[in-house]
Amino acid sequence: MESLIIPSGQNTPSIDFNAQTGKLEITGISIPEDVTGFYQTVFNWLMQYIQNPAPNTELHIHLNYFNSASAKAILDIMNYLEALLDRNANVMVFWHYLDIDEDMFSTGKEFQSLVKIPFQFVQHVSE
Amino acid sequence: MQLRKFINFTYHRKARQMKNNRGHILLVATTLLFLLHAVFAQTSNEITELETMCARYEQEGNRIELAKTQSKIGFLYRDKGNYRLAIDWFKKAIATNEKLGNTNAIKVLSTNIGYLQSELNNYDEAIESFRQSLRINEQLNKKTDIVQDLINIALAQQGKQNYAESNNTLNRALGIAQELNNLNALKTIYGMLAENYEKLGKQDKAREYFDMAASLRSHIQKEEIKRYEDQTKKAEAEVYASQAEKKKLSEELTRVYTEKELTLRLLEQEKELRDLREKEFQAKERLQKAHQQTTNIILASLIFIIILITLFLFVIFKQLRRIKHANALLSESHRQIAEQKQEIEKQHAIVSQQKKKLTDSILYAQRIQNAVLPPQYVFEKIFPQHFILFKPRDIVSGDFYWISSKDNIAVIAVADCTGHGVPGAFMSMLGIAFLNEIVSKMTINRHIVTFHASEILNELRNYVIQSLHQTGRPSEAKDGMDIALCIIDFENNTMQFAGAHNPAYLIRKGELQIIEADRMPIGIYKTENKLFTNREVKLEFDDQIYLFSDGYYDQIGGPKQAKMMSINFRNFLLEISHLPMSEQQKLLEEYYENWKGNNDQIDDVLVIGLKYTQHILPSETSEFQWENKTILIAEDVDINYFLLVEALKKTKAIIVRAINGKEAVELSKKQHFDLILMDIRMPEMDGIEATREIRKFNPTIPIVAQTAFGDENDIQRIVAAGCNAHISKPINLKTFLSIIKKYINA
Repeated sequence: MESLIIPSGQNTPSIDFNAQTGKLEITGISIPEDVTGFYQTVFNWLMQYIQNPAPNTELHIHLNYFNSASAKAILDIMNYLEALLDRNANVMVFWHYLDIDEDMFSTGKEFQSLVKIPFQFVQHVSE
Repeated sequence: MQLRKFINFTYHRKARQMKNNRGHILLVATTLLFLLHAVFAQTSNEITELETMCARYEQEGNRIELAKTQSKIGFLYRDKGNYRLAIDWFKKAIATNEKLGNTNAIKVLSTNIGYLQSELNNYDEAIESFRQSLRINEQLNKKTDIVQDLINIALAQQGKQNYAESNNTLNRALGIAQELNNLNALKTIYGMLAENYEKLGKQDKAREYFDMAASLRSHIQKEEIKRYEDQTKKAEAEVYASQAEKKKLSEELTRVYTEKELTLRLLEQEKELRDLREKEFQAKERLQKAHQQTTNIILASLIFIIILITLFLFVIFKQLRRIKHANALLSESHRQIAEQKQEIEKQHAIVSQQKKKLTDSILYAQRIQNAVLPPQYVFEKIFPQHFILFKPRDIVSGDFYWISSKDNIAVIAVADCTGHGVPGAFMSMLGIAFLNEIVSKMTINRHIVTFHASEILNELRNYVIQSLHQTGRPSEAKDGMDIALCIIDFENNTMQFAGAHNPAYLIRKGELQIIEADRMPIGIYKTENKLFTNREVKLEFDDQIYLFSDGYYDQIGGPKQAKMMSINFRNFLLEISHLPMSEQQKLLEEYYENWKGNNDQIDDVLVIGLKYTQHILPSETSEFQWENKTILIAEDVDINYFLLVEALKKTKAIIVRAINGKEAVELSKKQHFDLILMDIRMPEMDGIEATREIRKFNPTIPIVAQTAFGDENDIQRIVAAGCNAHISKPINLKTFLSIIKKYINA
């Protein structure tokens, strides 16, 4: 299956979902006016992907800021990937955040409490 | 038959490609036939194998695999053209998926059954199948799929020659497709409506819809023509590149010629120099050989050039034909475009008029929102030193603040609703109304209800979930709000705090303390059953309390185009905390604007700062001061007695209890009371009889009956027995105290 690549826009993150390696990356900020419109493509791709996933799936969330509607979309993405756990496939969420951004860290902790997928927190040192 | 449009058999697509390559048609057709034959033979084997697997899965109870295999068989039969068997297997797959609760699969399967039934002209069954898919999509609110289902139903109804019904279905689809701006669906719907009206003999309507479909088609065509033009340009660029190549080649040839000439001259000179016959002969031989080579090269070059020119001519000819075709299409659509342009201009005028109307109405909504937010003087009265920094992103805001005070208690909330602008504002109006209702209920019945900040949030969450009819289904909107709420008790110098996502900051003597919030929203959520945490903090005078939404520190900007983050917000607050509140607001606003720079405002911004100072409120209980009065309470139930004691605590009245009517009579014979609170239902002697007894020796003492009933008979009996008044349980504190006041001072 083909990979999903969407370059970042002014209000939208870049999406780089590689079906072969199983590395799914969301990077940047996410404040689209029409959140469902933007993420529907991602959901459609995921629906296919979970039918035939890579042996190891890694979801890398590398966002600086997202609005509350995007938060729901990100949770939905995790819920899609949760289905892989039932099939004994490996899934892991990598939550990237800047060392000084405790808001993003605690948001990550909250996401962790809402899904069954194991989380790994990746701290980045701010310049 | 139009139905085919929706059936994506792969060989249909292949057939379409073949039309484009007529030259290869024979070759491809032969290959395809061969392939199809191979595929069909393989299918039969595969089906037998899959059927065996089905039986196994059924035995093992592996429903997931069973469902998958059943539908696989169904699809294989469908591809083979055996529609009846395909339908049977799809139905089996549906039954299995129903047990699994897999609605998505059921949807796909019933749609496929619908297509096949239509192919078999079983339109009623087809409609029923499409409806099944529709019901599911309606539940999931998948609008694009709903439109597709409705179109499918309408097609089947068309097949049944039930054109009026088909139109009803199409009109439903039309509304949703317009909402989605799905041009392709709209084109199909208009076309079908036109066909139906034509069949119904309504030519005017038919023409109207034909025109609409045609205009949409030409719009879509316009896009295609643009794509064509782009392709043509690309091809022209390729031609140009080949011409450059050709030029380079002929230059190369010229160079070869010159070289040859040079060699010839050298040979001649050599011949003259050595006048020897043998050598001359040798030279002649060499010359002849060179001559031969030259001829060969010229010949090869000529052939090459001819091939090149033929190729150019062929490419140019093909391009010319393509351009000619595109031009014809263009000029035809030019005329239509001109017509459409006029229409668009008309529409544009309507749209700008509508936009103005919309903006006007939002501006009016802003006035209502501003009226609902607490006015400045309400804050001023309770917190003489405070500030409110409120910057909505759009005209109306999804952030709101709220305050209420009673006796020596103030409740303040700062909330942030999902979204911003109009949807956020709707939610904020709900929030304000709910808070008013919840807190006023609690303050009235403070003697019976625990008055905790967390309790207010628990209640608020119930209100939001119930009024938005949230059930926790995954597809529904998880609207709600984040909130920071505190109750400040000026008598006991304490602050209670509860937060949904939003914390509060407390700055005391240059140190900032974070009062944490729970990590869950007001609204439906995974941890909906978890109660909010109540936190209590002792307050000192000059403490500064800050409540805010996340819009301030989530702003993107600054030197690195990054988020401000709460840590910078806190550091700045600390930096300016020694300044007066009004100054702090000014600096916070400046800091925010500088950070934002030329970026867009990301969200609504709301920060409230409060300074805790000595607070003198007109104490409402002061009018209920009965320091030297004694009240007898005749009440057999302990809990009711304690509630009454609690309610009377602040009045400082002395309270004596009688546990039944008989004891009340005896006590009032021995001792002076200023008032008796008489329960009606009591053991030994009830309140009515006790009142009659007391009245025999004391006609003046005020007796207030308390009853849980309140029906006319009871009240009449109470009055007849000699009670001055009655109050009904559960008591309302203010009414209760007012009634007692009326009689106790008389």
